[in-house]
Amino acid sequence: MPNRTFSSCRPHSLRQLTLMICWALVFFVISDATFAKSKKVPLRVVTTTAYINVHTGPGRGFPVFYALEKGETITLLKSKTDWIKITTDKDIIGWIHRRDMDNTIGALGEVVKLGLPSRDDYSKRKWELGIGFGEFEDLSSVGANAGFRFTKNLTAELRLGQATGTTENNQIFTVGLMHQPFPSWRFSPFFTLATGSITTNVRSDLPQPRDNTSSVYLFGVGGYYYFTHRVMIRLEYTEYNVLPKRDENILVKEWKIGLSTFF
Amino acid sequence: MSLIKIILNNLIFLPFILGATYSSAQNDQTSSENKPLEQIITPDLERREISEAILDSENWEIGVYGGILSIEDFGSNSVAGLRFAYHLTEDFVIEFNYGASEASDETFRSVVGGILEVLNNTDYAYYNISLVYNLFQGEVFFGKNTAFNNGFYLLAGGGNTTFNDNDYFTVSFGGGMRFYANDWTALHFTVKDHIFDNDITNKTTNNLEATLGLSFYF
Repeated sequence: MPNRTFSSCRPHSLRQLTLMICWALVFFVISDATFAKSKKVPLRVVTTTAYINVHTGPGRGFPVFYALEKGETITLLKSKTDWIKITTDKDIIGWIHRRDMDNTIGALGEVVKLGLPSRDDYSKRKWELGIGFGEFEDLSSVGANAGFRFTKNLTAELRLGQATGTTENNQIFTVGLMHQPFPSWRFSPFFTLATGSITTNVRSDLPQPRDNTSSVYLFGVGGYYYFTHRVMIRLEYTEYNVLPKRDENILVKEWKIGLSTFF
Repeated sequence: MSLIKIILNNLIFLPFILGATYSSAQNDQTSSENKPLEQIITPDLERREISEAILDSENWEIGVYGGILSIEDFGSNSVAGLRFAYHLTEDFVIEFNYGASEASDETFRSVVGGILEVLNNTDYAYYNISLVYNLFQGEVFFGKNTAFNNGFYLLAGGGNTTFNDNDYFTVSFGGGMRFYANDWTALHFTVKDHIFDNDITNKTTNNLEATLGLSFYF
C-alpha cells in the first residue's frame, strides 16, 4: 500500500530518500529476524509452581488457553515487554507473564532472572534513551537524548532538539556530561554541562543570513524519577549560553519534561 | 572338629575383618555425604543464570506507512512515512514518525480569488514523537478456526512540520488499530490530527491524516 501512494506522486527527492531508508531498514529487520532464528540455543526452564497461565498473545487481554503444571519443562523463545513466549514439550505455544518467571528454575539448575524490571535494574542502568517536551523561552521545544553511564555517577550524553515559535526556529545539537550524586535514589537529581551548536532560522520573507549557526554551551539541573518497569520521568531546567559570531551572548532558559527508558 | 578348628584359628582375624567392613561402610557414608557438596562446588555448567542477555526481545518496531493527508486549505494529497517505536510496557509505546506529503494552493486560490501563487514551496514534511496507549487488546476471529491478535491505541505527541519553507511546532492526536499477522509483523490503520498555527491563513489548522502501515518488531 505505501508503494501505490508513492508511485502516484510526482518524483520527489525527499520522499525517494525516505522510501529508500524505509526499505533498507525493512530488509535489515527481516534478515536480522531470519538470522536470529538460525542461531538460537534452546533455553529450558522447569516450573516450580502449578497453574501458570499461558495466553495466546503478549498482553493481559489475550485469552488464557492453557495452564502449566508444576514441574513442566518449557522452552523460552523470546520476550516482548512484560511477556515471554514459551513452548512446552507438548508443543503448546503461548505467552506467560514475566512475574511467573520467578516460579521457574533452569533445567540445568540455573537461576532465572527474567522477572519484571525493578529498582535493582534502575540502579544498574547503563544506557538511557529519552524524549521530552518543553518551553525554550517563549518557543515550544521537542527533543531526544541518548546517554551512556560510564561510571556510577557520570553519564555522557547526546541531545537533539528543536524549538519553534511564530518568529523563529532553532535546531540544537549538544554533547555533554551529566553528574548524578545519588544515582540509585528513586528521585535522582542531576547536573549537566554540555556544549554544541544551535542553528537559528528567523521566519521572514527577507533572505536569511548565510551563517546562522552559533556555538552554545549549557548548564542544567534536574531530576529523574523512577516510575515503573524501565520508565523514568525526567524534569530539567537548562540555561543555554548562545555565542553568536557578531552580536553579544544571549542567555536562553528552557524547562523540559520527558520520559526515558534504560537498558 | 576340623571346621571348628579352622574358625577358632581364624578368630584372630575377626577384629580385622570387622574393622575393614566398618571402615568401608564409613567410607561409603562419607562419600555419599560428599556427593551433593561436590555438585555445588564444581558445577560444570555452560551458563549459571538465564537472563535478558540470552533471550531474544522484540520491543522495537520499525515500519512504513502510506495514506492521505488533508492539509487545511491546501488540498489532500498522498502521504508516506516511516515509523520507529519502542514498547515500554504492554500498555505504553513511544513512537517516532516522519512523513512527507505535498501541498496544493489551488483550492485556496479559487476561494480567495487570487491569481498569484501562495506557496513558494509545495513540499510538506513532518516528524513527531508520540506516547501511545494500547487498549482493547485481544483476538479477532475470521471464520471458526482462525484467530488473529489485534488491538486499538490512542496517541498524543508533538513535533515539527515544515510547510512552505517554514517550521511549525505541531501537536498531534490520534488513534488506530493494530492487527498482527504474526508475532513480529503488524498491519496498522492510523488516524491522526496534526495541529499547528499556519502563518499563511493566520489560524490554527487541523490537518487530518489516515494511513495504512506495515511494521516489523525486532
